Amino acid sequence: MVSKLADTHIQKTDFTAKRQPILPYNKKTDRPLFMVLVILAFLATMTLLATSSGHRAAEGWRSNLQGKLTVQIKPGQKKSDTEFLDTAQKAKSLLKEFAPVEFVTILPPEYSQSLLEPWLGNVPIPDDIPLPILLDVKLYDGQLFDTKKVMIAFADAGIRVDINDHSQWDKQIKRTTSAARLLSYLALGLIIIASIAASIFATRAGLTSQRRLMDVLHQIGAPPAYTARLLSTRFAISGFKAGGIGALSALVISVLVGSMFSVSDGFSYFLPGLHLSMTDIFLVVAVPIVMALIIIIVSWRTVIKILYTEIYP
Amino acid sequence: MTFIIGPSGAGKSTLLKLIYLQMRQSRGHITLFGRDTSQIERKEIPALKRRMGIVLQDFRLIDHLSVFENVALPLRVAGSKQEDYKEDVLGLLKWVGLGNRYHALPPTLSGGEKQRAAIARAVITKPDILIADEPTGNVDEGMGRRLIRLFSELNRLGTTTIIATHNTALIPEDANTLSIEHGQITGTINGEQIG
Repeated sequence: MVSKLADTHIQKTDFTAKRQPILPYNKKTDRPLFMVLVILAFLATMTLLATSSGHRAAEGWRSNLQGKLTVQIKPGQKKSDTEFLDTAQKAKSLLKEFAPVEFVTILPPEYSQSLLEPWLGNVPIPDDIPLPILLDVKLYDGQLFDTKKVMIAFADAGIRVDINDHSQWDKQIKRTTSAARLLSYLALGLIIIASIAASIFATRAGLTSQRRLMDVLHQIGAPPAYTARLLSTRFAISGFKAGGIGALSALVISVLVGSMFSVSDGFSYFLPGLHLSMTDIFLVVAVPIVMALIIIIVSWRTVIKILYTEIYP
Repeated sequence: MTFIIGPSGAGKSTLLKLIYLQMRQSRGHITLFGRDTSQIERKEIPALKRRMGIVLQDFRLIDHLSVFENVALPLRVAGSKQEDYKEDVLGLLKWVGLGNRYHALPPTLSGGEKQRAAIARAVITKPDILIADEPTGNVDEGMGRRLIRLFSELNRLGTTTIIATHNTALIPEDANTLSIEHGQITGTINGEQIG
């Protein structure tokens, strides 16, 4: 019918109309969501970077501690420097008899003296202060060291030693990093919940402000999926942009803070420094993508639910 | 072409809403395209709505879209490309007297122009049924008569047309009329018998 009508009336028209988006941009409802998403993306990225950096630092500490132990020959048995060094040599030979030991280094007396510097200052240590001799023991990778067995061997040889296999430190680092990881997962969970809540709220606000458009789309026979796609695509694009801005801001701030407070060897005082790795870059890229995915799923479900309960009979 | 007449609150709009599947009846039967509407599932509604053109008193035009885009909206939603429907839409706009207003935004149109744009949008997909609820309610009598002539022309070209109105003066003599009061049909007039 329309074709017939059109055929009789069509004249060549200088038609240059550009297609407008069906769903208009609504700054009033779009901007608050955008800002909330930027903040959430920023927090999520900061959490991820801090977790990743902390995990890396802890692993570094642990790898330094694992496979090493320190044997301290107690100074009470000191008779003379020569005798004491002989005892150290005996201890070294004894240690080398155990399979996991790769090599043993007798640390010079200056090393023991340097350990006292934080308390005594950089002054000559009087001879009558008894200092232990320290042996640095390196184990073969993945080998377990039976401290009790070695202690018994030393006792049999008449050498009084303390063995520090750093297991306490290792356990503490492990516990602390596990707790930190758990807390960051909790924070990420809360950020995801906040993103979902913000998406639901924004979708509802968007539907309310575009109610007439929704009614018209329903009136002309647009399937609910079409309407849902209009809204969820809009929100997902907005979420991706906001996620990108938030993630990049977090990255820039992390780098700045890391470089400002870095003292040496990548450490910021006693805390691990914020260093970027490929994993961090991946996390920064993933944040806006994940945010857009969350928003598209949540807003889609919200629109479909509202359309079926409020518009479709 | 069938007119549904009756005073305000008689149930004309409700009857139309039941026909165009905006509401579901709690009892009774309505047959649409050979199917009992109470048996139609929600997911089937959009496809059935695309076979109907609906014109409402408040026009329901989208303010940020031009007249052209408003009229083309059903085709755009159906996935058609602008170059495929451009000539059809422009031709239809000329036919309803809006040939030189295709670029205008709805807020700049008069009541009659808005109503004609709404009618054009309703018929652009060549619907099987055209349903209009008080289409002359917001226009003067002269424009009302022109709109009714437009509906008659569409009906003559093969579209089943159902119009609810309380303005009986505009009804052509040869039209079928159904009068409603308090939700009850109180009379029918077969236009052909009268004519």
